[in-house]
Amino acid sequence: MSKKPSYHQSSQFRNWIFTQEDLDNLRKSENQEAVQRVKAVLEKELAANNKIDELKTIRFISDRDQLIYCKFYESKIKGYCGKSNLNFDLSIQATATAFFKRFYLKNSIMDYDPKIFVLTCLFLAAKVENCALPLDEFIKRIKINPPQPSQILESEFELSKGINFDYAVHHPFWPLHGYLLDMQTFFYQSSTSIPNLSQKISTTYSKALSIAKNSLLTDLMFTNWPSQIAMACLFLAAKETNFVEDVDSYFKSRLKDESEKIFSLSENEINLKLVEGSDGDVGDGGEKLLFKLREMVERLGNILKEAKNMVPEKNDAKVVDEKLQICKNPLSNPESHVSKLKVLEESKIQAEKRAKKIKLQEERNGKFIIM
Amino acid sequence: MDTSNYRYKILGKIGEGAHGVVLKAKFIENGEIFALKKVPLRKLEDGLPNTIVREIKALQQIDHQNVVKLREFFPTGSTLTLVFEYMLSDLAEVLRNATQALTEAQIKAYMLMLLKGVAYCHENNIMHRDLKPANLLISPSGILKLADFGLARVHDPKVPRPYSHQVATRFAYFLRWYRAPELLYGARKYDVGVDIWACGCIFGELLNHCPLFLGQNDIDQLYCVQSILGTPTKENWPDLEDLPDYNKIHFPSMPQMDFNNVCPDASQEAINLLKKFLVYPSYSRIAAKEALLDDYFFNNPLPAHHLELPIPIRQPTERKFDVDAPICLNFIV
Repeated sequence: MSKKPSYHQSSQFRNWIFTQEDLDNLRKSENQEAVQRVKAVLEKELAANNKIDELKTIRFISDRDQLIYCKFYESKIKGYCGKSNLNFDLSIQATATAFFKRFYLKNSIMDYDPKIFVLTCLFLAAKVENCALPLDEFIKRIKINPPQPSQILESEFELSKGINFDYAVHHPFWPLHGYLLDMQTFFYQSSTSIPNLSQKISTTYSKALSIAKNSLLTDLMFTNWPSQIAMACLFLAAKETNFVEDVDSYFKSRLKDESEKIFSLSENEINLKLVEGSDGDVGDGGEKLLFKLREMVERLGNILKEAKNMVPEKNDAKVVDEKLQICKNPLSNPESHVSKLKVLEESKIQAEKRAKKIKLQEERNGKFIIM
Repeated sequence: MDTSNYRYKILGKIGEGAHGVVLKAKFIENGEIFALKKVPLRKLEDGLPNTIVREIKALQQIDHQNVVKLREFFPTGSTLTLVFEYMLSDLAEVLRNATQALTEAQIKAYMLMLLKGVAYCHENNIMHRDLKPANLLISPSGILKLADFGLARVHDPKVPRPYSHQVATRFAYFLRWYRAPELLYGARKYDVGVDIWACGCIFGELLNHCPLFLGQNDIDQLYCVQSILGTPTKENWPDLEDLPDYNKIHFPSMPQMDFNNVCPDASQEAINLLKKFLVYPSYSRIAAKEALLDDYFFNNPLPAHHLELPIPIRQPTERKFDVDAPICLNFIV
């Protein structure tokens, strides 16, 4: 049996974890590529409409614009999952958010309309989380601006390709729950008695859970492991409930005395180095790791504190939207000149193929007769 | 256009499943043989089929010797192609073609590989839900691997969620003979125990060379189970009365049969292990991980090496002539 922790085998670990720097660069380069591509298509389109002069005045979507615009739709996912709409649970909401983020990490809003894709993400996430709804029921439950069934169907495959079919997404909620259970055993077994223990644990947990929910809006899912995010949420919540020292002592002893875990710890450490980039010189083994973990928790905590304020203003999104109306890829509009041209070309190729096939068959038939 | 398709040379058809054809193909770069499962995605009412989403999701998380490996998959136009390692045969075929009874060492080897695969899946929170001999593939070197995760689901052990009614009724999980009694009684909440029950049924089938519970229909299936395990009572199955369909069917009261008479040729140790699989309440069934440590696998005769196992040659399917195709096409191999 393979000894690797299963998270290391997951597609999330292999394909969707970056350093912050890589993440920013990726967004930038993907955006530049998209601008080049869309520009070329727009040039053709405008030339066909005798409006080539307009091209110079067009301002394209920048990577920052895209971030604002996508964030706006990400923040809408929660509303869609509400009781009055789709009535989806947290796991679907989180998976849909991850799909959306992953998709627009490598694709541009100029090519694919987030209004549709945000719903497609929800539709697909429901399937992935074993709560599939039939499409007509799904559309029925969306109260405002329900999409056309064909729009969802067409974009679903595109979305799957965009996220590399990596359907399994790991969220911080499971590890957080794991910490809760393990902490309970730990504190009830330990000799020191803490006043109001069970109440403290449960309020800390529920606070940490709501922080974890907010973390969905940040980029942490691209830079850190779910267990790391969960740990940071726990510490941040414990600060509010005056529980931080006890949580710290829990992690300290858990990291120290479980010799069985040493193996996975060393792997952890390797990754922490990747994530942190720094190499503190404090003690060795568990000590060192704990120091690094504290450092990481501190850093993540600062990001998580801001998470609540991450929802962009509607006006900001509107500005981007106006920009977007002009520089959308004309190929996404079936009425545009280039789309029509493409359809024409495709049908030509199809016809050629068919003709070739018929010819081939006729030849074979002919040969047989000669035989 | 995607070029991935051209990296494989199609050699022939292996079979046809519920979701498209399975083809035998050669990876041109190194000549390795793979099985390609082609899933058409055109004109689907609800988009990507659930089974495919499940299979991809489950197999992406899996890497184990006793689970069939999904090498890659790629979209080609409006079909999705899944590339699996090529397997020579399956356990159903082994049983069908065996000219003599499997030896105890061979049975142990098969059970060991089956349980290793199941234990691994369960450890990774994946329920297979469709274990049966036809889904246990045999590699060219005799290794058994779990396959067909179309009904598998990744479950969350911490948050029990009743599996949606629609899912539970639309598909008939498990071929009837391997279906756990709680499923036959219409349970919607079930756990990894359903896989363990199926392991027990497969174990019995290996010992007897004949399925253990040969039900003609769902009701007859319950009858078959009860005629061997005896009528369930509140004592040996506390959750019995909560099952949705419990009050709908009543059978004559039956005594429990001695397993030594059910599997007359099996050793006492085999019977002891079999009894741990086939218990009414799901939580009393032995976990796959525990079963691997059973005395059965450590006493003589020891499990056979996988090279000592029979490797059946796939029966060449009869060539069918397509009457509509040009005749010469039928001569092209």
